[in-house]
Amino acid sequence: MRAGHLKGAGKRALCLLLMVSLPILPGCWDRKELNEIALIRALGIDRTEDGDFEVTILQAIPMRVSEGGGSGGGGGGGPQQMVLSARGVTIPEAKSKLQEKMGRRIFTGHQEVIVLGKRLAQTGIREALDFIARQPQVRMDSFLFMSEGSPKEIFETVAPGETTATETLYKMVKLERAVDMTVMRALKEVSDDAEAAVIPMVMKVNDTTLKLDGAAVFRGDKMVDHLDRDAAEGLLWIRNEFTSRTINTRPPGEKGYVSLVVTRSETELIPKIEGKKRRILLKVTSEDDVHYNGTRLSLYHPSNVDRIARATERTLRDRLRRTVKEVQKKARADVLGFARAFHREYPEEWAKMKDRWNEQVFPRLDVDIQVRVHIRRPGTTDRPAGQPEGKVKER
Amino acid sequence: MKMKGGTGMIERGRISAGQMALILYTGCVGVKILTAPHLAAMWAGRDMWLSPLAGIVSGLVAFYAAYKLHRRFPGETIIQYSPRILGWFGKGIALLYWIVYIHACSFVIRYYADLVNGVFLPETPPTVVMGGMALVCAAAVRGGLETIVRSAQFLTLPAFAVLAILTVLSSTEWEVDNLFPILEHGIGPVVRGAVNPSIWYSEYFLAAFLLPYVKEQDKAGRWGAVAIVGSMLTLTVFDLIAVFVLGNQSATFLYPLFETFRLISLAGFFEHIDAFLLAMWLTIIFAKICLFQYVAVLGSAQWLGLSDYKPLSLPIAFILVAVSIWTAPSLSFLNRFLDGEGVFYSHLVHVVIPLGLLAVAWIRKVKGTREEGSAS
Repeated sequence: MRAGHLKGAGKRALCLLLMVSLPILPGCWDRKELNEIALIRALGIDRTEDGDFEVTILQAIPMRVSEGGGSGGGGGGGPQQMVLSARGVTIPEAKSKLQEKMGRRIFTGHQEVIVLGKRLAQTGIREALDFIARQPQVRMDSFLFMSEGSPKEIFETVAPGETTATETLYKMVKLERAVDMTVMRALKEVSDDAEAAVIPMVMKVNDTTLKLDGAAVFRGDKMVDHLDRDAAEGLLWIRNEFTSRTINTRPPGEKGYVSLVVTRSETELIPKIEGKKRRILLKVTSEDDVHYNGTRLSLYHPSNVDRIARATERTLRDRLRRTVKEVQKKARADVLGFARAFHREYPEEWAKMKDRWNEQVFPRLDVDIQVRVHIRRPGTTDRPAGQPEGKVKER
Repeated sequence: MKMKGGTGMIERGRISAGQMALILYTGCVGVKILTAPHLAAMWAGRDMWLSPLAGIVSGLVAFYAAYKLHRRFPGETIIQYSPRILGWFGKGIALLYWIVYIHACSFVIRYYADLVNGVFLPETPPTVVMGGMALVCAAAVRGGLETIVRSAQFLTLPAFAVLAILTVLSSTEWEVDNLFPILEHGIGPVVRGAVNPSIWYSEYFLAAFLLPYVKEQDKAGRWGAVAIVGSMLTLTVFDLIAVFVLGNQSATFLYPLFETFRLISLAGFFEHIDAFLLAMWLTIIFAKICLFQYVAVLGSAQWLGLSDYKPLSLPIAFILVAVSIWTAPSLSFLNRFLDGEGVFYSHLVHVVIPLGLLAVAWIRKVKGTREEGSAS
C-alpha cells in the first residue's frame, strides 16, 4: 500500500531483519544437525530375568558407509553399525540410559525394524506397542520381528555386503517371505475382533547369517505358540498375503517332485451358521507356473498337467489343514481372520459369541478347505528337459 | 448508538460469494480434518464416516440464521444489529460475541500449537509456535478482509489439491472390508460421534461477519450451502480413508489423517511425507486462524465504535496468544471439551442466540436502516 514509503533505509532494515531471522528460523529449537544425531535403524525390546526391560538400539554410522564405499572393501572400513543396550524398569528409562552412553542424540525417524525378544512376548507386548505408538517420530510402518534369543544377537549378525543387520531384515520382508507385520498392523490385530496377532520370527544361524524361522502367534498381547516354517507358510495362504511362493508336490505313481511357482492366489473366507453349528469355508484359488519337473511326465498333454494340478491341490489342502489345526487346537488364537469374517456376515450372532471366541468357539469351528489350482504355463519347455525321447511318459 | 448507517462500514474490502464460501469452508475443515476422525471413531467406530452427515444440521441452521439476520440488517454484522434489536442487552450480547471469538480463536491456535509441538517440534516453546502464527495472522488481518481471502485462495486451494492427491495415493493401503458391518450398534453412536464435527459446522455462523461484504448478494446463500455440503463431503472422505487404512486404530491415534498419510509409500522412495503434510495443513490452519482473528478484531472495533479496525490487529494477536496458553491445561482437556460440553457452548452462540435474535427482530419488527444491496 505504501511502496513509496519503503525505500532506502527502510528497505535495507527489512533485508537485515530477514537475514537475522534466517539462522534462528529453520527448525527453531528442534533443529538437528546430521553430525549431532545418532541414526537409529533398529530397536530391540526384551525383558530380563528380573522383569526389567532391556532396550537395544542399532545405530548406523553413516560416515563409515561412505568411507567403505571409497576403499571398495567391507573389511577395511571398520564397523558400520554400533549395537548398544541398557536396562530399565520402563522402556523410556532404558532408552535414557542408552542416551547417557552416547554423545549423539538418539534419532528414531529412520528406524525401520523393531525386534521383540521372546521373553517379552511371553509376558506381553502391550507396553512395547504403546511405547512405539506414542512416539511421534517413530514410523508406524516399521517392521516387527520376534527373536528366540535376545534382539542384541540378531543386531550383531551382519551379512557380508550389508552395512547393518537392519538391511537384511528389511529386505527379507520386502521379498514377501514372511508375514508382512508392521507396528500399525500389529496394533490393529491385537485389538481387533479376534484379539490375536502373528509376528514373523527371525533366528541367528551363524555370525553372518540370519534366517526366518516361522512365526509367533499371539493371543491378546502374549505369545502362545511358535509356528514352524510350513505352518507359517500356510498362514500366508489363509491370510491372503500373496507372496511369490513355490509348492512341491509328487503326482501319484511318479517318483520325482514337481515344483510350481504361484503367480496369483486368492483366499476367500465364507462363514456359515446353521442352527447351532458354525462352520467356515476356506476357498483358495491359485494360478501357477511349473518351475521344476523332476518326473518323466510330459506337460504337452493337458491331462498330465491336470494330474499335477490335482496332486498340488491335495498337498496344499493338507498343508492348510495342518496350519488350521495347529492354530485352532494348540495356539487357540484366531490369527486367520475367521472372527472378522463372522462379525461381518453375522453381526448379531457375533455379539453373542465374541467373549468366548478364542477359548471356545474358534477351536471347535468346522473348517472346510477347498483348493483350486490352475496351472497356466509350463515354463519354457513342456517336456522333461534332458530326458531321452523314449523315456518321456506321454500319458 | 454510535453506529448509524453509512459511516458504520469500517471494512472497505469486498469479496465474492465464492471467496466467502472458500474461507468459511477452510474455517470449518481446518482443525476438523485432523481431530474429528479420532473423536468420532471413539464413539462410532467404523461407522464414523456417517457422523459428518449427522452433524451437518448444525451448519445449515447456523448459516440459515446468519443469512436471515443479514437479509434483515444488510451491511451490518451481529455486533451492530444486536443492539438494534435488544438495546443495551443487545450490546451485552455483542460483547459476548467478541469474547467468544477470541476464545474460539484461542482454541484453534492451541490445536495448531499442540500438533506442531506434539508431533514435529517438541522442544520449541509453545509460545514461539503460537506467537509466530498469531503475528503472521495479525499482519494478514491488518491487510483487511480482501487480503485474508486472497491469501486463503492462493494458499489453501493448492493445499487441498495436495490433500486430494495424497488421498488417492493412500489407496494402496485401503482395506475396504473394514467398513462392514455398517451400523452394527444402530444410529446412536453415530450421533454421539457427530458432537465434535457439529461444533465446527456451527461455526458457519461466522458468515454473519462476512455476508455484509459480499459483492454478489444474490449468490451468497447458494455458495454458503455449497461450502457446507463440501465440508461435509471432505470430512466424510477423510473419515472413510481413516477407516480404510487405520481400521480400529482410528480411535487410538490423535491425528488419524497424519497417521494415514504417513503410511503412504510409493515405490519405496516416496515416503516420509509427514513434514510435507504439515506444510500443507499450515496454510489451511493459517486461513482458519486469520478468519477467527479477523472476526475478533472487526468485532471489537465495531463494538467500541472505532473508525478503523486495523490498529487493533496486533494487540488482539497478543491477547490471543495469552488466551491460547490459558485456555486449556492439556490437549486431553481441549479434546474432551470439544467432544462434550463444548457442543452446548457453541450451539448456544451459533444457533440459539441468533435464532432468538431473529425471532425478537421479527416480533418487534426491527429492520436495518440500510437499503438492501447497499453493501455493493
